[in-house]
Amino acid sequence: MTAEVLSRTRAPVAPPPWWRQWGSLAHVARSRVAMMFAYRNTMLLFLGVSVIQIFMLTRVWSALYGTRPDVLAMPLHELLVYLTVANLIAWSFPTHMTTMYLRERIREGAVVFDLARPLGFVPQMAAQMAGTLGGALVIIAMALPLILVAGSLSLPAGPAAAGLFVVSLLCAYAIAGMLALLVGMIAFWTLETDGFTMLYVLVSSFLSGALVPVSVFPGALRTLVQVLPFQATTYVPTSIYIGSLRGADALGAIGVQLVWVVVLGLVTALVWSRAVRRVVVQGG
Amino acid sequence: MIRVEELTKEFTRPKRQAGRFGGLRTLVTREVERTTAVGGVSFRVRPAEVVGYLGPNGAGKSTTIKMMTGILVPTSGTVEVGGVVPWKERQRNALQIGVVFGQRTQLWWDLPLRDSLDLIATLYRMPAPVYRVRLERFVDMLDMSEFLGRPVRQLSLGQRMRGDLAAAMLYQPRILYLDEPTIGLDVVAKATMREFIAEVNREHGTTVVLTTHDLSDVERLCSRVILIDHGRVLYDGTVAELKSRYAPYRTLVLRLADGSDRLQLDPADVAALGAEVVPAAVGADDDGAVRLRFEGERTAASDLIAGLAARYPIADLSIVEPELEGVVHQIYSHRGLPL
Repeated sequence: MTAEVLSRTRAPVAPPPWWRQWGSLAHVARSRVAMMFAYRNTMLLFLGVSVIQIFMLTRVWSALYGTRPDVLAMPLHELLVYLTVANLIAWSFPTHMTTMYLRERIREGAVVFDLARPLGFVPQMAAQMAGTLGGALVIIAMALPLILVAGSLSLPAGPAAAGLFVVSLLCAYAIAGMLALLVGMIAFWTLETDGFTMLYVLVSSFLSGALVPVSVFPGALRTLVQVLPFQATTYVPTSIYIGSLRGADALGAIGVQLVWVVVLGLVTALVWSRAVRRVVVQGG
Repeated sequence: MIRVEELTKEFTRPKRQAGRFGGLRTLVTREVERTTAVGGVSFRVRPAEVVGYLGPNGAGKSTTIKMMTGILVPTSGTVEVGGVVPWKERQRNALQIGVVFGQRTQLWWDLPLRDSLDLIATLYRMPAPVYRVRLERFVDMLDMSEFLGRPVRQLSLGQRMRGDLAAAMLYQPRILYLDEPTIGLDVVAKATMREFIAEVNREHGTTVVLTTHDLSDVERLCSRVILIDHGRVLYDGTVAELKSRYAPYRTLVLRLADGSDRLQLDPADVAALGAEVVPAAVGADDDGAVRLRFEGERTAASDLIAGLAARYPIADLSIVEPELEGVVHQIYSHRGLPL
């Protein structure tokens, strides 16, 4: 009772920093998973599209290898595993959820509620992305038999490859998540992100190596890819998985990923602080 | 509890270019349009006060509320809410305020209402037993048991708003901002909402700032009103004073006995009694009634009635009190205070 009365008369103590609000973060993530499963059919449709993409890539490359076995400096079965894993990783990125959520919240002005929470908006978004990711992994696990039919899968190249793959995948998710957040935050300036998202998805799916491994890109394009963050989201973890990147090369690639995590972390923080300063809520 | 001083917010938008390729030129020009949504507003709100913050559409009400919640950073001026500058310590401020925007919802659209409330309890770190007891009480007060398990997108507007109000008060913030909370609601839902707001104010001393276009909300809930327009404060005081200052006239409506007509009423007689005849509005239905207006402070109704009854055959009479609606309508349409 006394505490209650005191709380009426004094300003509240500031909430703990986000990394000490695990309960809240976990609950936000859980709610997002619940929401994905509220739209089960849409999720399955999206997965269907991805499975079809894997299937088509598998057929096209198999046909190409049938006429010219040396078309790429990579055996066919390795390429097929690469394409399957790469597309599943790319599919599980929460890009669409993030950009759509930000756009809707900003356009409808509901972002006011997200900003008036004792937990920061970026940690809330990160928790939502983690939830999306978790939901996506569950769906992939359920659809595994179908994926095995459409593409081809094998276990990681070895225990070391498996360990490095997990580290590399975590970095990949951090990078892809921050890129999605950056694209989504454009909405703070334009109130619109559909065009940017389409462009981003198109460019990143090609430059990340989800359609063709970046190791076979010709000269100039190869250089371009190496200075952009996209390959760190898909090509690197997938190559480590199939064992075409190993040992010092793999560690070096993970080092580059970590650099991207830091760089994008700084860029995201900067853009976010600018975005908050110019929050213009629609209407009112 | 709330201190607002010289608060100003200007919005800048790229100026739209007209004519051929207008859209394209809008994108590349640097010309901006400046609009002042709030221009130098000052007021204070004491703890446990319920204040109506009124003004016509576009007067700057929501913009002020957004600055008080910390969502908008003002162009100049200051706001202090319970010792916190909202936009500087947004998350700390979040713990002491509850917000309802009638046109928007803070509930998760695709999840059952209960899930949203659970999530809010977690975000505000409510102990489980406290949450359980309060939820039970709110469900009871706002009559939500029927739709607590239904996804928010399937709720009616009235149900959703009750859910939103529960969400805003769940963690018992000491300040509640209500931006048009009863917009579009039916009478029953409105009454439930008002009762709930009055109850939490009485029980916990919650400070409430309310914007609305429904003046019966104000008459039912607010002890004080702040009227703004064009981003400036026009009036700040009690509802009663607003009425007595800007609508001092009470109206006596009377019907004379059959066979008489109002021409028999001598304006000089009426004036001697401290009242005057209100001319019938052009085009209004002639209901045979005569309307006299008098200032409640100068003329006693009983004297007026007695004086009239002595001279004229009165069949029926009633007194109409000034309505807030009329006062506010007058102020809005004059875009300023009437003299």
